[in-house]
Amino acid sequence: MTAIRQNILVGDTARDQFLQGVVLLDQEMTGIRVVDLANFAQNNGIPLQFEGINQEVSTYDLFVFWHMIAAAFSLQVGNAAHGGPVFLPWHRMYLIRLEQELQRVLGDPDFGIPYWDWASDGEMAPEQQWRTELWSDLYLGEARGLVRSGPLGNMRVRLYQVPQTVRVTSDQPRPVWRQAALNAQSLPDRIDETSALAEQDYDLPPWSRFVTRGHRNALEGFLGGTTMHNLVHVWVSGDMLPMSSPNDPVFFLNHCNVDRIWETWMADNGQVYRPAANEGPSGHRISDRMLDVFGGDLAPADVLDPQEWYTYDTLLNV
Amino acid sequence: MANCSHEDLISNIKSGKRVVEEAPKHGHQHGKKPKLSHASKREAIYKGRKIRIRTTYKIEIDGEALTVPFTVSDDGRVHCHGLPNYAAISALDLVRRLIDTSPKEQPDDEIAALLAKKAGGHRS
Ligand SMILES: [Cu+2]
Repeated sequence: MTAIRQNILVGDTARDQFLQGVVLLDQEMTGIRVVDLANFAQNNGIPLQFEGINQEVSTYDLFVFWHMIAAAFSLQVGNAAHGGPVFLPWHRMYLIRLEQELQRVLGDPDFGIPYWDWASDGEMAPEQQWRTELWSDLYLGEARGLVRSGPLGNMRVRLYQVPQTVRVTSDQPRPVWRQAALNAQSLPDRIDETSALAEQDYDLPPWSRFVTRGHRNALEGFLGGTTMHNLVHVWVSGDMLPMSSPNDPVFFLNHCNVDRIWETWMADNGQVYRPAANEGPSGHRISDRMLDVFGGDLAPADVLDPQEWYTYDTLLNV
Repeated sequence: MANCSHEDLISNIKSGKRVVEEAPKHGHQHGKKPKLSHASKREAIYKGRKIRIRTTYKIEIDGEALTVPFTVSDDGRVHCHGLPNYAAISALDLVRRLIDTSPKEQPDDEIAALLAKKAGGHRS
């Protein structure tokens, strides 16, 4: 069976299941405490510093933790999940894992994570973009301030990375926090999307956030300032800014859309990935194992075709 | 993929299992204090001449050293790990952004009061 990933504004069932599922994962305690996380990071040589209370964490918090350790895992180029070619396959694997956890708690093996087609909102006037139905109690709750309404009003943040110190702070559980449209004026629009899709190469030397061409860097959003995926993080702001950004479930809606744009690019250009096994920086090559706390051994090559896990309701028209 | 389960996740993390083959590139800060400055190196060949620029930032906010390292890219944009998705037009811009986005510095926002209350609670 394969999940179908739908636009969150279209699939009401997928929307409700997603909102319910992330809350269930956030309330599912694991018996793991912050001290265990610090220990795990240390055993893997990852320089993450922790502060605050030694509380028990949930399954959802483990995804937040996984994202933080991948980001703290510096490579010759970027880190284990960002700033290089592996950005797209790593986040694809990460979403597949969350999708499977959601399927488990929802008891629905066909559940697919919905996506947020942000470029559609990016076509609106900036002052309208954060006042859409998406930021209401039917969907994601408040665009600004603490999220108290709708299902996500039940989410609690336990671990977050302080931007000024990059220490992982474990605090009394608190609601998710947003500052939509206060640190970036507008979401990416269709023109931004089209130009990312028009890139001919997947990625190319120096394979970093400094490459001036290539689909990956355009989509990650380092091409020409703060754009695309990066801009969505900055536009939502609040908990979406530091490396603990999966604390806000909108993280997954953003990345599902990023993945869908990549899938559109591959439908057009073929399932091509670079660097090959014998070129480019270690940790980003097509057969390099990706950092996975589940202990899997997936490499970018293994996820180029996602059909065994999911498909999209529609790809972009290009 | 099929044989990776919720139980694997829990037991791997709980047991501190090693899931990576080698240590990260800059993962050598154990036990050391975080560095207060960090050099970024830009190199280019121009008309046969080799250019090398090393940039180091020493930043203070209200006299207090900022510990998160800033790096500068070839196009002059400044970046730090604390705001990973943001490419700033200058170091000053990035410091302003760090202040703008700190949950503790939002006087009009409920988050600041919430965190201040907690900080007070810890002390007492
Ligand atoms: Cu990420």
